[in-house]
Amino acid sequence: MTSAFVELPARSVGHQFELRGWVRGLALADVTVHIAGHVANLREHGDAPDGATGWAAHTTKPAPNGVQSVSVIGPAGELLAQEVVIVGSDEGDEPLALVELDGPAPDAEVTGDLVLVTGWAMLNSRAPSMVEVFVEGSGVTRARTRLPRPDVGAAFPDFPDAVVSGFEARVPVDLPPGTARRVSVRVRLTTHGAGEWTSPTRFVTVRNPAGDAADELLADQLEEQTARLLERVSDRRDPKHVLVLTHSLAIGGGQLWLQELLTGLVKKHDWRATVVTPVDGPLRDDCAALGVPVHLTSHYRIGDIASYEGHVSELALLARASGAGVALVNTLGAFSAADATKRAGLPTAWVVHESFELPDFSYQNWGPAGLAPTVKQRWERSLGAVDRLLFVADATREMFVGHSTPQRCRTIRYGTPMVRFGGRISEHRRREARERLGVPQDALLLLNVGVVEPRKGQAGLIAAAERVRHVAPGLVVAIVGQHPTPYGLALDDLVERGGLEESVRLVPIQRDPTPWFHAADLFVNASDIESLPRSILEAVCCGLPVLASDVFGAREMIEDGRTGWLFEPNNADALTVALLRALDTPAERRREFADNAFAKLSDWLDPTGYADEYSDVLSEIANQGER
Amino acid sequence: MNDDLSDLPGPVRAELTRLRAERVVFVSEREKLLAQLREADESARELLADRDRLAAQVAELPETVRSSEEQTASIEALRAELATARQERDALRNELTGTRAERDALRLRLLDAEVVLGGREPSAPVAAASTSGADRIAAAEARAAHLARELAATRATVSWRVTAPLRAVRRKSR
Repeated sequence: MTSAFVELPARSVGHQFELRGWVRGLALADVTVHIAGHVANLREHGDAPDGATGWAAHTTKPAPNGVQSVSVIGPAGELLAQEVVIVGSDEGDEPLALVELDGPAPDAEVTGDLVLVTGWAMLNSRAPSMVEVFVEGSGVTRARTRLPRPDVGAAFPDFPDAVVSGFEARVPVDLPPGTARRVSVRVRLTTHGAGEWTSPTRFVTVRNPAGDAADELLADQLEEQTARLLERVSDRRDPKHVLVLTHSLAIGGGQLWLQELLTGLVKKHDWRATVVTPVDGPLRDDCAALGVPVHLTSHYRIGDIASYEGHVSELALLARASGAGVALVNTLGAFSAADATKRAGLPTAWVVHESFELPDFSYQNWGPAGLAPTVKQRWERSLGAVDRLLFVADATREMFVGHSTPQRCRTIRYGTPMVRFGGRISEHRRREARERLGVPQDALLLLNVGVVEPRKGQAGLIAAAERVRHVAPGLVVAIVGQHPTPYGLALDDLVERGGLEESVRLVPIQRDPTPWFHAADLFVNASDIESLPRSILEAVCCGLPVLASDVFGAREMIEDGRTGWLFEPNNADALTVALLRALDTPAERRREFADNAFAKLSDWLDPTGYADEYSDVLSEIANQGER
Repeated sequence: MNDDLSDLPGPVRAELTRLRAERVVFVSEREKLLAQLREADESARELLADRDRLAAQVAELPETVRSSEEQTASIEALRAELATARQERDALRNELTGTRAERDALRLRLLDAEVVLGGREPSAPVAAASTSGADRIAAAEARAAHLARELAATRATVSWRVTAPLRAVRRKSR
C-alpha cells in the first residue's frame, strides 16, 4: 500500500523554503512534490518512520505570501497527500521583504550634485505603498515607485507586482563645485497592513566637479564670434511678429497648450508667428492651417560648450534674420533657444511649465553626467537674462524666482476649449459615450488621462483601485494614454498577471479624449510632479469630481474636501484612502464638489483668456526695446 | 554833431576819423559786454537758485537717506517675513502630511474591518492567495485535518505499538 506524509512547519515560512515528509510503498524517484504550483527540488532525507522513505523538498520558484498548496504526486499522477503551508510572517515579525538596492553601490563615488537611488522592492509580495530614501544632509525623499522591472517579473513569476517593483529617487545634495562629501544612504519601505522595513545603511562619496577653465575661455571666444556674425545681419523687426521656439510639435500637453495659444495670438490678436522646433509632429499641420511657417532644426546640442555655442549661434542668426520683434521660448529644456534670442537682441519671454529643480531636470534629461559646467552656467544665465519668465502655476514661479527678479516673473494659467461643456454633462451624452466606448452603464468609471509614464503614477492607481474593489465592485479604471514604452508594457503585464482585464482598461493615446471625460464618474490625477495638469481642467469642464495628488499646481486647482480630494504623492495607501473618501461621498455631494471646482476655476478656463494675456506681455516687451 | 571835417587840417581830420571809427568799435564792444553781463547776471541768478535748491536738497538729504534706508529695511523685513511665512507654510504642510498619514491609517483600518465583516480579504495588498480572514480559517482547518492524519499515521507506526503498554500505565496512574 502506498502512502505519503508531509511534515508542516510550526510557523509561517518565507518565500523560499524546504519541507520534509515521507512516502511508503514507493521509490522516491517515482514521486514529485509540488509547492505553490511548481515542481519542487526533491532529495532523500533520512528522518522517516520504519519502512518509509524520507524526503526534503525545496521550492524552485519563490512563493508569494498566502496559503500555498503542497501536493505529493505518485507515478501515475495520483494525489498521495495534499497540505497547505502559509507563506508570510507571524505576529510581531517583520514583513517579508524582497529588496535590492541597485544604486548607488556601497562606497561608490557619485559625480555631480545629485544622488540617484534606484532598486526594486516587494513587501509581503507586493510593491510597497511608499519608499522613502534618506540621504544624509538632504532630508527624506519619497521615491517614485512602481517603475517597470521586467527582470524582476521574470524572476518572480507568481508575484503580480514584480513587473512594477522598481523605485527611484533623485536626491539633490547641496555641494559647491569642486567639493566632495561622504554621505549615508538608506531606504525605508512601508505598506499599511504589512508594516515597514529599513535597509542597512551604505555610504557613498559625492563629488561635484569644478568648471574647466579652458572650456570657459572657449565659451567666451565663441560667444564673441557669434556677436561679430550677428552684426552683419540687418536688424529689421516687426513688433507684431513673434518667433516661437518650442521643443516639439508632437502631441503632448505642452505642445497643445502652444497650439491653442498660437491660434489665439494669430486669429484674435493679429500676430504674425514663425515656429522653430527640433521635433516635427502632427501639430505642424495645425501651424500650416494658421499660416504659421515652421522651421525645423536639429536637437538642442548641449553635450559640450563648442556644440552648444555652435547651435546657439545658428539659432541667433536665424532669430535676427527672421524679422520677428519678440521671441517666445517654450519649456525649460529649450534654454539654448532663450540664450540665442537674447543674443540676437530680441525681447524674450520664456514659458516654464516644468516644476523641477535644475539639477533634477538636468539629471532626468541629460543623465548622471548632466550638463557641462559651462553649459549649465549658460542655462542659469539665460533664466536671469530673459525679459519675462512665465509660469502656469504660482508654485513653479516660486521655484524659479530666485533665478530672475519678481518683476520679471509672472504666472499665466491656461484654459481649455472644453470650457464649452460648462462643467456639466447631460445624462444622455454620458450614456451615449459609454455605449460608444463599451463601458457598462452601471459601472463606476474612474478616469485617468495622460501619456502613460512613471511620473503620472498609473500603476499606483491600478493598485489602489484594486484595494477598494471590495467596497465598489462595479469599479472600472480607464487609463487613456497607453503606448508601448517600457512603462506602458509593464502596465500591460501588471493587468495580465493580476487578472484585471475586466476592471482595468488601458486605452491608447487619443487626440481627442473627450468621450472618456463624458463617460466617467470620477477623475484621478496620480502624478508626483505636475505644474498645471491640463487633464484636471478638462475633467472640471466636464463636471467630473477630481482626486489629485497634492503637488504644485494641482493644489492651486483643487481644494481638499470642497472642490475635490487631495492625497500625498507616491503613496499608494494615500491614494487608496482618497478613493475611499470619494466613494464615501454621496453622489449629490460629489456633484457639489464638481460644481465648486468649475466655479473656482471659471476665471481662467476660457482658452482665449491666456492668449489675451500673452499678447499683452509680448506687446509690452516688444515695445519696451532691447534691454 | 558837425560831420563836415573839410575845414580841419588834414592830420586832425585823419585823427578824428580814426577816433570815430574806434568809438563805433568801442560802442559795439560795450553792447556786447553789456549783453554778456546780462547773461552773466542771469547765470549768476540761476546758479544762486541752483545753490539754494541744492542747499535745500542737502538739507533734505538726511531725510531722503533715512527714507531710503527705511525702504531698504522695509524690503528686508518683508523678505524676512516672506521667508518666515514660507517656513511656516512648509512646517504646516509637513504637519498636514503627518495628520493625513494618521487619518489614512485609520481609514485603512476601517476598510480592513469592513472587509473582514463582509467575509472578504483585508485591504493590505497581499499576493493572490491571502493569509487572512477566510483563508486563514481554511488553512487552520487543513492543518487540523493534517494533524489528525499525522496522529493516525503515528498510531500505525511500530514505535507507537511498542510504547502502547507505557501509555496504558500512564493512563491508569492519572
